[in-house]
Amino acid sequence: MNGLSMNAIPARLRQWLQGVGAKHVGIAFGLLAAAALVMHLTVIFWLPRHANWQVWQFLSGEGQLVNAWFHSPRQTPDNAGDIKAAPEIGYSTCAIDLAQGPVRLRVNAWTPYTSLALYDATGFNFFVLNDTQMDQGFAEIVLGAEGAADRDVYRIASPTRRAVAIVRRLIPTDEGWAEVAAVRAGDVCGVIPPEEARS
Amino acid sequence: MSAGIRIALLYAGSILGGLLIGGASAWLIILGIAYKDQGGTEAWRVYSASAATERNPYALGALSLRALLPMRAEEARYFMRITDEAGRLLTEGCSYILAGGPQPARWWSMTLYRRNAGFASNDDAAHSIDAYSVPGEGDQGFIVHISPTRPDAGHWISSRGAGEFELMLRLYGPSAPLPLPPSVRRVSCHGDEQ
Repeated sequence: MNGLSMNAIPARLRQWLQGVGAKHVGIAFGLLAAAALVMHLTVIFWLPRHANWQVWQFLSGEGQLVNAWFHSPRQTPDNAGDIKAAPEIGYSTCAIDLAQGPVRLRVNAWTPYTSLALYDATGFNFFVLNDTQMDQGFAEIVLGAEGAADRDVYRIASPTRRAVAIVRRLIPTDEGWAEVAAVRAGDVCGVIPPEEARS
Repeated sequence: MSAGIRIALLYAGSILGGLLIGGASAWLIILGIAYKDQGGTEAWRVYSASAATERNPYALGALSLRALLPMRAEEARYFMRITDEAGRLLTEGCSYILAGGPQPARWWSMTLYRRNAGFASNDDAAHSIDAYSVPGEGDQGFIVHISPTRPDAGHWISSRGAGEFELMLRLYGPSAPLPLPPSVRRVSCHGDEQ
C-alpha cells in the first residue's frame, strides 16, 4: 500500500488491512470521500431550505394564509416573546406560492421609511427597494413573470416557487400606528387572474 | 473472520466515516461563519449578519442560524452593547446615563432587551428611544436615563424586569458602516448607599 505511511497505523489495524488487500482499501477510501462529499453538500443545501421552509410555514399559518398580506401589530413584551423585535417597525408579510401563476404585489409608501424585501426558499434576498424608489407613492411588482418594466411595474422572476415578501415601515409615534392601518389596507399580494395574465 | 466480512465491514465503516466527516465539516464551516465576529466599534458590536447578496450556500446556512430574513446592509445595520464604559455588564440593579448624538443614518433607534432574549418584562412603555423621541438640538446630543424606576425628569429607558440587559442600536438607511457610538456611564447601583 504505497503512498500511505504504514507506521502511522496501529499494528493490529495494519495487519487487518493487509489481510483485506490494497485494492479494497483503495475502494474504501473512495467510498469515504464520496460519502463525505454527499453529506457535506446535503447539509449546506438542506439547512437554509429547511429553516426557511419552517419560516414560510409559520408566516402562511401552515398554508392557510398564502398570497395575502398579514399585517403584524406593534411588537410588545406580550406578543414578541424572546424575539428581538423592533418596537418602531410595522411588519407586513406575505408567504408567496407561485403554483397558481404570477403574483402581484403592491406596497404603499409610508413616511419616514418603507422597504420591501423579497426572499426565495433559501432565504436569499433577491429583490429590495425602499420608499426613495417609489416615485408614485407606491411600488408594484409582478412576481413570477419576467419581462421589461412598465410604468414602474417591476416584473421579476422568482428563483423558487415559494418566496416571502416582507414590508417594513417605520412607525415612531403612537398616532402613526392608527394612521398606518389605512396605508396597509391598500397593499396587495395576490395571484393575478388568468384572464388578466393573458392580456 | 472471513475476507468477505472484513471487506464489507471496511466499506461500511468508510461510508459511515465519510458521512460523519462530511456532515461535521459542513456544520463547522457554517457555525464558523455564523458566529464570526462581525466587527463594529469597541463597545458597539455588529449584532447579526446582513442579507446575503451573493448566492453562497455557506453564508445562507449561517444566516438561517442567526438572522432569518434580515435586511441588506445598505438598508439597515444593527449594533449591540452589553457593557458600560468600564466594561461591566449592564444590569437592572444599576442606573446609567446614555449619552450620544445624531447618527449617520436616515433614522435610528436604540432598544433595551434582556440578555439573549426579548423585551424587558415590564409595562412601562419605555423600551426604546429614537431619532424622533430624542432629536437633540442641532449638534447637541441627547441624555437618556436607563434605570428600573422613572427619573423625575428627562428621557428614560426602563430596565425594570430586564435583569442583565443589552442595548441594540439600529441604523436605517445608514450613510456610514459604523455608528457614532453613544456612551453608557454607570451612575449608581442598588445598595451603593448602604
